[in-house]
Amino acid sequence: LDGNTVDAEYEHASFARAAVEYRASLNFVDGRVRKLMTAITGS
Amino acid sequence: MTSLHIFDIAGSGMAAQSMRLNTVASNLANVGSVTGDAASAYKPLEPVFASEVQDPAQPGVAGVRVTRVAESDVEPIKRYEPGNPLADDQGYVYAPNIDPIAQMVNMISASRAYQADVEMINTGKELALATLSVGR
Repeated sequence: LDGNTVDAEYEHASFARAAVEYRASLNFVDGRVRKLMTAITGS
Repeated sequence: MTSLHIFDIAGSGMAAQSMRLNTVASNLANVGSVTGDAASAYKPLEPVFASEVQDPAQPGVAGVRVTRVAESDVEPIKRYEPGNPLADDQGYVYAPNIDPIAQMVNMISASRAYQADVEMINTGKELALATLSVGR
């Protein structure tokens, strides 16, 4: 349309997707850390 | 979230867009600034953006920088207004050649881009804080 090669909608969507994937990975890591903490402290 | 470049990049975008909003405000404010000679008429301002790599280790990731604010070289509009105190000897005044509608469109575009940058920063902050609280 204006000669710009950046599609704002597409970039927005892929940003949101990356944020969700980051959050998901973070959940897995957090669960693992919690599990180890429970194993170590025993409570 | 390596070293949080998202803040630098989105911040540079916000600075650039707010500069664009400033030029739009300046152009709209001066729509009615007539002068008595063509050379001193107000020239519409147009910011010139260039991408700027933030981290040499990541050459594909770039912020934006306002390299300069250019004065558009469109000819001012010559109007016959002999009653105007600013008119020249022939009775002409020179008004800047600014299209208010194009300026409004420019303003909305800048405002949307600014909002997108704010959203980036908010998401980046949220994710960084969530990362800090892992295991708590």
